[in-house]
Amino acid sequence: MRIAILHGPGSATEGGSVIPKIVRTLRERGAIVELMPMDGTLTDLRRLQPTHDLYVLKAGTAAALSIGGALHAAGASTFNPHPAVAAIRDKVVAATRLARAGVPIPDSWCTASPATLARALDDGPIVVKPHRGSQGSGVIVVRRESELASLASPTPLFAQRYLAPDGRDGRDRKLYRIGADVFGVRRVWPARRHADKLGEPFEPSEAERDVTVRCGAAFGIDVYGVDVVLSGGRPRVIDMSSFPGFKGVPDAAPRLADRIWDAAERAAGGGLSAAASCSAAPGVRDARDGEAGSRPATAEASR
Amino acid sequence: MKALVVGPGRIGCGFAGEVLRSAGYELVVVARDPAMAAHLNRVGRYHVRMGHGGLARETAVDGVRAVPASSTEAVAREVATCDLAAVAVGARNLPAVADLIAPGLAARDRPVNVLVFENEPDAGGRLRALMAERVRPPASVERHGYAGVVVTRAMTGRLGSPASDRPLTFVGDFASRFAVERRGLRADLRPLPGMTVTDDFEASMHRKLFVFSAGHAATAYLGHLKGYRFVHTAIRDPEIRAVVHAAMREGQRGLAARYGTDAAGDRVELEAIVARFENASLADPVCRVARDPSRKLAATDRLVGAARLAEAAGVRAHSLAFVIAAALSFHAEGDPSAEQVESAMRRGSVLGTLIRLSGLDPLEPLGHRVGFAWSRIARSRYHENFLLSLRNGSWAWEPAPEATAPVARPADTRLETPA
Amino acid sequence: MRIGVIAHRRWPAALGPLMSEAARLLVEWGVDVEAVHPEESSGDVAALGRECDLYLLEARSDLALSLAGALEADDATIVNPPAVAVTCRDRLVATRILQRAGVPVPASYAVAHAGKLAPLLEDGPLLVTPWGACAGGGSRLVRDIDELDAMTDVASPVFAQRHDARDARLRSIACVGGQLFGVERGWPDDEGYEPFPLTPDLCELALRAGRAFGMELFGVDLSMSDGRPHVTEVSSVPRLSSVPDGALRLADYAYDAVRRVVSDEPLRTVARGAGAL
Repeated sequence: MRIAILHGPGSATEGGSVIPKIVRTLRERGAIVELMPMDGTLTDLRRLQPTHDLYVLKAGTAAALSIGGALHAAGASTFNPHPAVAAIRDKVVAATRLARAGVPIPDSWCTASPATLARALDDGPIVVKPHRGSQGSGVIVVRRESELASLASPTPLFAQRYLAPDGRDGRDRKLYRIGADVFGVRRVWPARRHADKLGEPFEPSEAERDVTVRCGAAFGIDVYGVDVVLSGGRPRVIDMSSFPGFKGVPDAAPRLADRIWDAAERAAGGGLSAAASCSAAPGVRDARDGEAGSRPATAEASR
Repeated sequence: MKALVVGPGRIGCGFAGEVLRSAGYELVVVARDPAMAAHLNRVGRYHVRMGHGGLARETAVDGVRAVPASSTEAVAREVATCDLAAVAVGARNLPAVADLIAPGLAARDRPVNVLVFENEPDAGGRLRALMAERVRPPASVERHGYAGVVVTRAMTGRLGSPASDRPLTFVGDFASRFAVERRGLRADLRPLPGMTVTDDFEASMHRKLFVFSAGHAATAYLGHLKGYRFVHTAIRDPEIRAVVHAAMREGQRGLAARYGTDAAGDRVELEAIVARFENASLADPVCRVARDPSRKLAATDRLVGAARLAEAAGVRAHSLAFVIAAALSFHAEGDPSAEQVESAMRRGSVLGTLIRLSGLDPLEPLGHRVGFAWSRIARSRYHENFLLSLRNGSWAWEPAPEATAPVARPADTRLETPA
Repeated sequence: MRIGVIAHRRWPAALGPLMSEAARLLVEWGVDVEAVHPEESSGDVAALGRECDLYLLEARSDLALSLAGALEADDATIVNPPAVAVTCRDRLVATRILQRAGVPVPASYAVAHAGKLAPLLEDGPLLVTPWGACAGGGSRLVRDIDELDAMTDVASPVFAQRHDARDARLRSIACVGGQLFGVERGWPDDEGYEPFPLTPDLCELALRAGRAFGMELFGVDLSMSDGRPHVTEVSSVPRLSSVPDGALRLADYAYDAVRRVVSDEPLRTVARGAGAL
């Protein structure tokens, strides 16, 4: 079995990353694992052939997403499936799908002009992020209209109502799903020390489990992470990641290696294709299905 | 009062039935399709939706029952007891209709009028002759009226299915006038909404055929050549609009020479007709209007008939000739008539095909004009190609220089002179 | 029937000239046409609801694609679907899809920044394009190191394709519901496009490219290399401004499409001109 992992610069080697341990576990099982750093080396598209049974899309940059998309388009099996990864990365699309799946999310906006967010500030602070950012980069809390001017960006901005968390511990609540299991990790944000990144585990409530599972159902995946805020006693999802770091999740690496191994086995046996795995997700259209018709799957809902 | 309608189609139900019901007649429909008869008996009504621009009106036609054509005794009983009959089955089906209604007509005590809603100047006379062939003594059927009817309404489609329990809807425009051939009537005919009884039925029918129907067909065939989907789109193309206008004008000039200017209509009428072609609420596909080209290329039908009348009046029918050439090039999967034309064109020449289909005299200049027009469009006439410009004959694609023979090309574009 | 056109505002009009003309025709035909300007929306994601029977996605900015994605999540029918538009815009993914479909493409490369292309210039010029979700701007012909070094304003990463120096025409094929139109201009200096007659092999190439993405409304750009056509780019918005009666043909297609949507008929049609070659 041949597995490739598309990772960001450094993440395959840095001490706290889950990747090295996943690689070791997979190799111990007998898989051939190749690390593909997304560091901008020259890629000849003629050589971008699906030579591995499975490509793990760990890197979160736009370029890495493109490479993953190209591999998917070339017929490769990806984990998570590329259409789901692309949809999650677009925060507007993700917010819409989560809302339709019954996941409580904060009020959200998307705009090219920061000035239009002034109205939103009437009801309280907002959190502004790049609409296709990742790994928590570029996230700013805005409280006053005067702060909007500094947000000018060539790319659209995604904003959400800032929800004051219940309780006073000021920690992020991160929920991770690996297969049937849901794990909770409380973490200080922003993390300044490695210990901050590890956080402390907690037992998710029933409501948190339910919300977490709904998130996966919206995209047809069962390995991912969501950030939630407990506000007014209810968990609200404020972000989702298709392959987070899983820091603080006990035995994360072997659990993830299991899921990756299973996916690679199915792909090697022809049982898993990216298209097949995401067809269970309503509305996640596989742009590779050129012959399938131009009407999106969601249009099957009655008009 | 009971009216019998033979043919539950767009004209039979969508026009004749609606008019008769509005005049107070109970409707009995004779349907060849038993499923249609069952549907009408089950539902008891249908709708007629008329529209143009932002205006729409939907009329429910109720009090409807049906008899399957296969129930010959039941049909005969209905024919024998009706107060008025209407036939709208397509001119080529008139012999079958004659077979169907002859027993009932022969058994009647009182004369009755049969209104024949077909696009033929002498449909009434033809049905009369067919009846006389079938019944002895012929007097038992000749005492009835067989009057042609020319309808102005464009009925373009039917929505719904006879398998459903929901009423069918027939779609058309608002035109409501129709003319009945006085000469064919025998019994009294109560006034019907929109009806005119005319002594000059042939002129009325030719006016409809050689102006409106010719223009309609021209829009469809030229629209098909240029790749448009709908009549209302094609007529918006300035080139098509110009040729359609010119073709209808040629038709008018021929009519004026034969029947007088009053009978031909004027330019104002042409504008009104073009406005009807612009009616998007009909969503009338080009292929529907263009279908069955072999019938539409018949000697007395809308294109060749109009062109010959124009030529006889000294008019050079270039535009009609171009439309005829476009009709010869019409291709539609599953249209036996179009396949027949295409096959004739493959085997023979343009003139040969016109002689076979349209009865054209080889010495008529019209044949030469059509041949010339054909040569402008034949060069790259492949099924899936379309014209970008009528004026300069530029096609969307051309064969590569080394290409093999195209899909549909006549064996020879020269005019043949028969021995 | 109601059509929404997702487009950037073309001051002072709501839509560009061709789309405006097509919209005017549709309105005359009884279709409501609404211009949807992403940059003018309130931005409230919860308010992004499907209000039109059919949307035409003309704008391809990040914001437009995200908003279209949100509409699609609300069961909107969009031509072309935003996932397809995103894919077309991503030259790397699009090229890979074309290759897989057997469509000839020039030798293509992807790099983090333009400087890494230097070794490739030894074998000839390259067409270099910003690539990726945040990219904008057109392609540049790069013939030597000096021209490469001058590309300091090009966003990274970049996508590059081999260019045959003998090819002096920019050819484009627009497809509207299976009907194909060829337009071309001199390149790189000429401004205006003119129609040119296609050949069966070009038609087949364009249709195969469109089928690879599931599109009936699209454009392809072509280059010639060693006398053979190659597809350099696929666009989810065809270039119709130089196509004879382009607005009328687009309106014809859109009218048919919205009628099908409202009637619950399949949107995809096999119109004349499609697939039978």
